[in-house]
Amino acid sequence: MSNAADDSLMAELSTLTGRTDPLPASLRSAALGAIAFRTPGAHVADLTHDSALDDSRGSVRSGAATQRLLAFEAGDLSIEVEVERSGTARRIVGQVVPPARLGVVIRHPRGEIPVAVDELGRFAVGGVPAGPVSVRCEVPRPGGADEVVTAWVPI
Amino acid sequence: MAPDLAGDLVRRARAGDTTAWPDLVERYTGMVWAIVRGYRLADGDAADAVQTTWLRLVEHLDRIMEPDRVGTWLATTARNEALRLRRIAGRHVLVEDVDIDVMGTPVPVEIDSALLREERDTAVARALTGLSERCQALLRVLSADPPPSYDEVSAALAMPVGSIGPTRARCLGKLREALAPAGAAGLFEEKELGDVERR
Repeated sequence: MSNAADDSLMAELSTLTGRTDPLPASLRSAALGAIAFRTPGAHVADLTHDSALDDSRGSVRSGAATQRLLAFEAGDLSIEVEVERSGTARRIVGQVVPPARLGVVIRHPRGEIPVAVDELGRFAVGGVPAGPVSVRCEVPRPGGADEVVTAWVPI
Repeated sequence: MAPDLAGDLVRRARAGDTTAWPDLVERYTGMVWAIVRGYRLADGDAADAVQTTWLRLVEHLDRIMEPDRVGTWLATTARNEALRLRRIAGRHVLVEDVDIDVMGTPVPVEIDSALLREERDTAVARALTGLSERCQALLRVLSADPPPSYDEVSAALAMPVGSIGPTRARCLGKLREALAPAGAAGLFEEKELGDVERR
């Protein structure tokens, strides 16, 4: 049970925060626009490894690590992605195993980048904007194809 | 928003109703922002965390087990995204010669003095920075508009629901204490000046 003085101070904090640190309009727009990225029926490949979260502090002391390794899994499908930072852009080198020959697309909030894939399921693309990213691919299945998307991860 | 109302919005969004999503965003966008700021993320990381949280909801829209608890789901996701980015940012901040406690060094929140209209605002903002990180995070999350439920606050801060009320009271008490000497602002400023001169 809170008292009136607490409630009043809390209300003051709310007003102050609303004035000094409001949600940027661009973020509200981004949230509203997120629904456009819905892929009903697609399997989500969850993030199973992120090298940036390794506890090996030694690698950070020896110099900035510019390469980040992400691994995603959905059932028997795995997608590995290496991310290289270059200012505000990212270069992505990845592989889908088993190989996906049909449509691999790098998704990011401002659009999609289709990428070519070789017979080993490897792909590479530069100029990906920093921020949330998701790899979408179609995996051939008997009688058709499954759509797989990697869990969104900010890079 | 009543939980069942939020659940209805999730169910309608799942069914392809394009009017449901904006209502869902409007209800929780303040909370998601407050949570990532509560975790002291700098602007770029805060934007990434917010954006990723909403994209993750879209990604999981069909799989959410309890649509009525979407607020708690969003709070948990915002917390996870903030922690991830904070951890990564901490690593990039580490420099050869300096040993910094990654989780203990808060990113200073820039306060645009042009926005602070009164001395009171200044005093409150300054007093807030003197509180523990835990208190600052709790008060930041509680100050979201619309205010989050205690279940959502609990998920956002990994704080037991039962302790939120007492912690809120304690933190507001400390804030009030810190604000009390504000009346002697002149004295405080003289002391500061004295310190500078002594150097």
